[in-house]
Amino acid sequence: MMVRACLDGDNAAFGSLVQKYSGKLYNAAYRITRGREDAVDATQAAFVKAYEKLPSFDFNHRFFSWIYRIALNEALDIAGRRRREAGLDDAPEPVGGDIEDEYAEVERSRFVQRALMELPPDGRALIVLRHFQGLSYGDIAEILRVPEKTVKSRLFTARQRLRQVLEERGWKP
Amino acid sequence: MKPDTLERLLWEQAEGTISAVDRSRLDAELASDPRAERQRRGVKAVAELLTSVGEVAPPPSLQARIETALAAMPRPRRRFSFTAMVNEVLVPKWRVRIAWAVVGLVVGMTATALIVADFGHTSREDISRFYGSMATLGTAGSASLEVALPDALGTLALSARDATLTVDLEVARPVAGGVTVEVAGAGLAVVSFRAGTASGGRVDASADAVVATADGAGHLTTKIGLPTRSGVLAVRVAVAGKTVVERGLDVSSVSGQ
Repeated sequence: MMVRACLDGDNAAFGSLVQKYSGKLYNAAYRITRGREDAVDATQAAFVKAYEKLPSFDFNHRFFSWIYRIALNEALDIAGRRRREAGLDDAPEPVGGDIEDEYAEVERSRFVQRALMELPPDGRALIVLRHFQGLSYGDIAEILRVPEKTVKSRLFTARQRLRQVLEERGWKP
Repeated sequence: MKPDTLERLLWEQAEGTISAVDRSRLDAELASDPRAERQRRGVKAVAELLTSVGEVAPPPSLQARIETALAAMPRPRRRFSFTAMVNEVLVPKWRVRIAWAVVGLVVGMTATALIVADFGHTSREDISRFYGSMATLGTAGSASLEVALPDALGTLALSARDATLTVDLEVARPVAGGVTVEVAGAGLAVVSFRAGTASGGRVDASADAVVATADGAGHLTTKIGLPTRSGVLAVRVAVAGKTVVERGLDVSSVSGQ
């Protein structure tokens, strides 16, 4: 409805879509990229691209899955660029003696974030969509345009890898 | 249980999506294998760790920043392309409705076509068709029924007066194998037969039927005596041995016999 309204010249309609999805997309982008500024860039780029491509929007899909797909691609692009720029400096942090501190409330998020960054991009995106965004397997399949079965099997691999990374970083269940 | 299967079930349990059957399998495995229990604790801890990471508040300026970027762009306009229009109309929720509408349209058009096609038939034929295979000859001592033969081959007229059934067969053109009228019923007797055809005709009577045959174009008149006041006669017209008209004839209502 909002997309149709926007295409019919209602400027406020797209503003409503920005308001509805910007927070969620920012959070997803934040977990996929390295930080806040990159997340802002990815979110903004996603909405700009969506606005630009709106006339070719396929009404067979939901706006939700379409914008998520664009945002994920933007975030993964930025993350990839940062990784190339960072080069060797971007290697995983060695296991240190301050792991106990990382379990603290404030540090937990950063600790998980660093572990996430060691996953392959598609695995990271799946963990983010399922565990941080709380999306169903069906919604994720729609966003990634792959069968639900594929989502489950890739997520299984991503979780196994994440657990391995966490344990390598000294995390103990 | 394979380690991968175990881990998959443990994640399903942690997420609350495990089926009852899998839950039983998993419980049995956990009860029998201490390593499975260790793995369960590991999966549970990762799930809890991920859940414990809260959402990040976006910068307050995020929405304004996006809207500023959008304001500098040309406003999107609806593209009037055929594909876009079809895509918009064929959204999943409309597909079923459109399919039903098409089915309705096809059924309606077919029914209309059948009704219109039927206008070509004579009303007399429509009446005989409507009443099906059972025709009743009059109620006041005399009556008639006329049936057009297919392909404008001619007509069959049946009329009854008192105890006599008159069968008039008009054949418009010669047919190889001839045109035959058969009236079947017990005790029928040929009262008279007249063949006005170019190549003649004939009538045969047996214990339970009278058969009149026209070998060419022309007119056959066969008068048949009816033995009783009730019963049903079967009237059949065959062209070259193939039945083209078949009617039941109730003689009970023919009065004055």
